[in-house]
Amino acid sequence: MSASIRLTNLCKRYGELEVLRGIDLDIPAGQTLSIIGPSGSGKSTLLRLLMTLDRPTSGEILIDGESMWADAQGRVMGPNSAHVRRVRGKIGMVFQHFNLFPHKTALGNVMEAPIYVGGVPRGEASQRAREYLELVGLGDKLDAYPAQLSGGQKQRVGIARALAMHPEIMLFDEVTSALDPELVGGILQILRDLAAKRTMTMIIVTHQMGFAERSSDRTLFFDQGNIVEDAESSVLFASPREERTQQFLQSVIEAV
Amino acid sequence: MSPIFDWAFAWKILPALGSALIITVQATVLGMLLAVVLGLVLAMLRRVHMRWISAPVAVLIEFVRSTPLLVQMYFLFYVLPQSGVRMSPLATGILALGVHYAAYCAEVYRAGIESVPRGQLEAATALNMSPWRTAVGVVLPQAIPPVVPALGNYLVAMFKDTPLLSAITVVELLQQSKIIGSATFRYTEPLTLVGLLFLLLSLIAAWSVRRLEAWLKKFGGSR
Amino acid sequence: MAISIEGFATLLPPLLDGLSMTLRITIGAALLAVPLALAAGLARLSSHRWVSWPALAYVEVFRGTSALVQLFWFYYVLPLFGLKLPAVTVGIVVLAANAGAYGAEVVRGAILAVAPGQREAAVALNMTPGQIMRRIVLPQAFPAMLPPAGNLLIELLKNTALVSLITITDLTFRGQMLRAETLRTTEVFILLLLLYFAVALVITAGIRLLERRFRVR
Repeated sequence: MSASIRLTNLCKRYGELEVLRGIDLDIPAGQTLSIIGPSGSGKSTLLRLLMTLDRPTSGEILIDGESMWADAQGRVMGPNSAHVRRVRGKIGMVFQHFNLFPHKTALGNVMEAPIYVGGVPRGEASQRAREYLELVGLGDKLDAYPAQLSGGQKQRVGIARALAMHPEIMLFDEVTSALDPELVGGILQILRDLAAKRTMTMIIVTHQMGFAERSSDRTLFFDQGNIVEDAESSVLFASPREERTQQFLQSVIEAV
Repeated sequence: MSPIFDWAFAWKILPALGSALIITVQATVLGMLLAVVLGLVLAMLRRVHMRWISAPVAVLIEFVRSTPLLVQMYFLFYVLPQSGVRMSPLATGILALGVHYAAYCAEVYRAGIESVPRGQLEAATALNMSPWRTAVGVVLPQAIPPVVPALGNYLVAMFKDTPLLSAITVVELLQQSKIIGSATFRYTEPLTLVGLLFLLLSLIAAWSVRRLEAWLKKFGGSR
Repeated sequence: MAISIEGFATLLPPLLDGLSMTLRITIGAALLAVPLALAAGLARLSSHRWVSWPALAYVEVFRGTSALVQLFWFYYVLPLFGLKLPAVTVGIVVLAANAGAYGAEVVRGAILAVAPGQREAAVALNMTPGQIMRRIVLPQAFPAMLPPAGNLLIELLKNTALVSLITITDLTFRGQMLRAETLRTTEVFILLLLLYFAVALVITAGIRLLERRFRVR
């Protein structure tokens, strides 16, 4: 089950600083969308807003046609209201710096939310957690603590933990940026496999241009709080229309 | 029935409390002066490479920090005269405060000294500096500024410990309020006023320490 | 200024009596101070002003005034409000309130020190604020609270000596009495200091054991 997203004139300002300037975006259910762009362009802020970690300054976020922050009568709700929690339950996120719970094992990390948020009985949650950890290749590390895991292994736990809640939308915030180069490929493969299954809408903020080009349906180029270019991935990378996109892609190639 | 808090009476006793406040401030300032100097001496002795000096000093610091100031004060008050040393109660109290807080300051200095990067010591050795020069010219100037706020906090703490001097007959704020109380049978006003005075002064002092901290941050720690 | 080891032995029994009172007060105040510190520390972090401001007032008043003045104030003023409590109760409650105020700042500091990413991950998993605090933040904050809590416990032990000044027969009170009776000033006070030091060492060892047990792996 996947959900669609519609953003209408989405703005986010921190004091004087305008980070998102009127974003309009339509993401159909099941799409795999990559977002590329320079640091500070607002990509991560967009994901944070989608995950309800921050509230928009103005503009609207619709998940499956339902407003994230306003109930059916149009009243604005708080972050811990039943309405917002219901919407949030459809969305999962994997973080750049993993954010695993250090006082729980890998299995414990993945089981935590299903038991305490999903109300799943402990035995069933344990079984589910086991399956997801095996899916990401950590079947032999169930009882390891995060401190005993490598960066790549930690990120796999992070992915399993998010998947265990069966989200309809998955957000990936630069999930390979904090990893040693040789561990990046393993994570990207997991993302590729997930995208191929087409069971969720996936939004992937990344610097891995090759992955964005070959493994996502559509790519957005973000710069200074705006969507500069929005096209089918193969098209955007092969023949970018906008000059800023060309400059960015050019500089990325030179950096390699 | 007389009221719980008689404002007229409170106003009347303020001058008496004022003169006791002077004693309190004297004790705090002189005690702190002793503490910061003696504390530095203790901190440096603790780092000496001869174990027969550094180990006893470390134990002494731990001992003084872990036992009640009141008992230490009694000790000096009753034992010193027996050894022939004649000091006024106020002087004895200042000595007790100074020694007790020197132990705290020693630990603060230790933290500051240990936070100076090894690279600084290596540079000093490369320049052929003597240990004394290294300590005085390189380590201490970098170790002390960051810990000044912590020392400031101990100044405030010492100020709040001055009422203990009342136990060895020094007429500071608490003792003065007890004198007033036993003479007039009204304890509420003097004790409340003393409490408020402490609160006001320590809030001001704490605020000053925070300002000092912010001001010091300008001279940051980039080496 | 004669000191003798056999002399120490005869001085011990009355002092041990006082020591048991000191320990009772220390433990009683500590047990009361822990929930106080937790409640006040959490209250300080609340976004509701009618919760955080009273907590702030409590913390500032008890940290900003002298423990001895607090003891005297409650000892002399409380009866005027009709509350005639035994001196030991006043001692335990006031010392607990004092320690709790310092403890509240330790609790608050430790909770604030938990990485914000932890809260974000918990929100992303749709946990409620209560679940986040109980299952994610507090378990990580707790090990960080132990070293400062150990210091506060030793401060509490030292503060119990102050209750001797409001007629409670603790170790220091007994010491004073013994000094007046036997005039063996030096021995009495050395013994007093050693006894307090011994208790402090036990407390430090206990805290270190707890630290080892609760270390976040």
